[in-house]
Amino acid sequence: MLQIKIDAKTMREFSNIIITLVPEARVDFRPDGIYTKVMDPAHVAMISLEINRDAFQEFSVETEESLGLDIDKIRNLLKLSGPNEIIDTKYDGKKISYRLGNLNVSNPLIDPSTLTTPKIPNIDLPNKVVTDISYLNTGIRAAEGIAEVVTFNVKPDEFKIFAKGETDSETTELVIPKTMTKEFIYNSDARSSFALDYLSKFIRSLESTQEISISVGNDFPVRIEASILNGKGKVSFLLAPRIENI
Amino acid sequence: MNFDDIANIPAALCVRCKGNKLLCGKNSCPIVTKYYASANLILDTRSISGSSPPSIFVGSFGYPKVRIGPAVPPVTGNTEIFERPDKWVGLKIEEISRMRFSLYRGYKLIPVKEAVSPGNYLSEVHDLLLSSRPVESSMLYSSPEKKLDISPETQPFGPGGYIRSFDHESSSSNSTIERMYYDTDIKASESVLLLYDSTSLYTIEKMLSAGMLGKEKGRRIVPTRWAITATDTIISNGIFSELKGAETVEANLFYHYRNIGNEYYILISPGPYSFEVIESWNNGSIWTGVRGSSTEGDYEDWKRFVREPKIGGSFFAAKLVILDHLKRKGKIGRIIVTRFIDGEYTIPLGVWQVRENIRKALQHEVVLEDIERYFSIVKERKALDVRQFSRTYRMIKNQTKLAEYGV
Repeated sequence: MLQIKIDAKTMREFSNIIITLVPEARVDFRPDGIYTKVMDPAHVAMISLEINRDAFQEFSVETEESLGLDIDKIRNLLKLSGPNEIIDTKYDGKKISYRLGNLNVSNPLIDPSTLTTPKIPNIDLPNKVVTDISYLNTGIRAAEGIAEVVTFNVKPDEFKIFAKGETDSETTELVIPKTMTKEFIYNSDARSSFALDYLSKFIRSLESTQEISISVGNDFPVRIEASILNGKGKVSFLLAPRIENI
Repeated sequence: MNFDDIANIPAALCVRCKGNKLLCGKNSCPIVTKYYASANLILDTRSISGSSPPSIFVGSFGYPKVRIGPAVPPVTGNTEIFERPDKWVGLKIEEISRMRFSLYRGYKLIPVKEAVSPGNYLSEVHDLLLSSRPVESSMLYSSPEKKLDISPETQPFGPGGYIRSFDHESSSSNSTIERMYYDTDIKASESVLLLYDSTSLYTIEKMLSAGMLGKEKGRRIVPTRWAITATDTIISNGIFSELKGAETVEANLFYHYRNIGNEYYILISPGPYSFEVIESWNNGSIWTGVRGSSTEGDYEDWKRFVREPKIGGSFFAAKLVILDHLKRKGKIGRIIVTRFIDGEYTIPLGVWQVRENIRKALQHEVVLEDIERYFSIVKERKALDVRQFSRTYRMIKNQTKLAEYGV
C-alpha cells in the first residue's frame, strides 16, 4: 500500500526529466522519498533522480516498492491538470491510480524486471564548474542553431561552450570566466564534445533549477548535477562524449 | 518564358523545392512549365465519359476553399490499375504517365468544412469513392483548363477544369470502407489504422482526402498531397507504438533495388530506432537537369521525430514501408536509405514510387559484415561518399557509449 499526494508541477518536472531518455522507468518508492535511475536505449546517457518526501503534500510509503511506470501516460494525465492541482496517487498492489479533482485514472504497471536499472559508474572528472543554468542554456541554444555537437572546454580561468557549423566561418562561443562561477575546480585542461539533442532536452527539463554543476574531463563523459524543487530533490546526468574519428 | 532561366537557378534550390514552393521567386516553376509545353496535352472537349477507377483530385491552392472532384479517363472497362500504384512496379515511366495523364479532372470549389455535412455534389464524390469497382461516369466542363497536375507527392493527373455537372452510375459499395464512412464517432487516425489491415493504402489516402473519415464535426476535405503525408504519418506512428520495446536487429541488413531512374540502397543496422533518408539528385534528373547534382537528407531518432523533412513527403513514404517491414520481423534498428535519382526519372511521379520500389527492395535481404561495407558499396557503385552526409554514421562512429568508461 502506497499513497502520495503531489502537485502537478512537481509531477511534470519529474516526468519531463525522465522522458528525456526513456518513456518507461522503474521507480523505487522508499519511506524517505522516491528514486529512479534510467539509461537511454543507445546507452549514451544516464539519469539518476531523487525526490525527498518533503516535496510531497502527503507521503505514506510503508514498505519499499519498485514500480514500472509508463511516463507517457503520466504526461497525458498532466495535460488535464493546472499547475497547482494536487494529484492523489495510490498503489494497491496491482495497479496505480491517480485522482485529480473528481477524475480517476488508473494505469497498469509495467513489470519492473523488464526495465533495466543501470549502475551509475564511478567516473572521476578533473574539473568542476558551478554556475547559473541560464549561461549553459544560452550556450547550448546558440550551438543548436548551427550544429549537432557542442564542445565544453575548461581552462585555468574559464569555461567555454562552443560549436562549429558546416563552414569555419559559422561558429558560436559562450565564455564563462572563473569570476562568474560559484565554484571553479581546475586540475587540467579538458575538452569534450557532446550530442546537442541529448543535452538540450535534459537542460530544458530542469524547470526549477537555478544553479548547475558541470564536471568535465578530456574526451570523457560529462556529469551535470542540479538541485531541483527548491532543494527537495536532486538530479545527476551523465553523457558519453562524441569523439572525432573519421 | 525563357527556359534558359533555369540555368541560373542553383540545382540545390530546385531539389529542395520540387516545383512546390517556388523558391526561385518565379510565378510558376520553369521546369514544370517546360514539361507541360513538351507534353502538348490539351483539353479540347466539353465532356468526358468513361470508367473512373474510382479516382478523385483535391487541390491545395486557395485553401480553405479547394478544388475537389472526380477524375475520369475517356475509356470504359476495368480501369482499377489507374489508381493502384502498388501494381505499377515494372511499368515504364511512359506507360505510367500516359495512363495517369488520361485521367481528366473535373472540379468545383468547395470549402473544406463542407465534409461535416456534405452537399449534393460532395455526396456524389463520396459515393464514387465508396464503390468497390470502377464506375461509369461523365462530366460536363464549364471552363476547361489545360494544365496537367504534377507534384512531388501525388501521382500525376491529366488536364482538368471546372465542371457544370457530374453523373455516375450506381455501384455496389465496398462494405469495409463504407462502415468507416458512416461511423462518425471514431477519430480519423483510428479509422485509418483499422482500415490499413484490409484496405489499399491508396484507397485510404483518397478517403481521408475527400473528408470521409473521422468524427462528424472534425471531418475536413484535405488536399491530396497533404492527405498522403498524413496517412503515412498516422500508420507509421501506429506501427512505431507497436514496436515499443522491440529487440534490435542482430545483423547489418542490406537491400537494393533500381527502377525507373530511382536506385535505393537501404541498411538496417543494430541499435535503437533512428531513420535517415539521403537523396542524391543527379545529372539529367528532373529537378537538376544539366546543372550537376545535389544531395540532401533528413534524420530522426526515438528522441524526436521529423515533422517537416527537407526532402519532402518521400521521407514519410519510405519510413512507412520500412517500419512495416520491421513490424513483421518484430525488430527495430538504425535505418539508412540512400536514394539516387538519375536522368531516366524525367517526371515526378509521386511518393508511391518511393514506397513501392522500397517495398520491392525489401524482398531481398543481404547481411553485411559492418556498416562501413554499406558505405563502401555505395561509394564503389555511385562514386559518392555518403558518410559525409549521414548523421547515422556519425552517431554510430563518433558517439561513444557510457560502458566504454567503466559502467
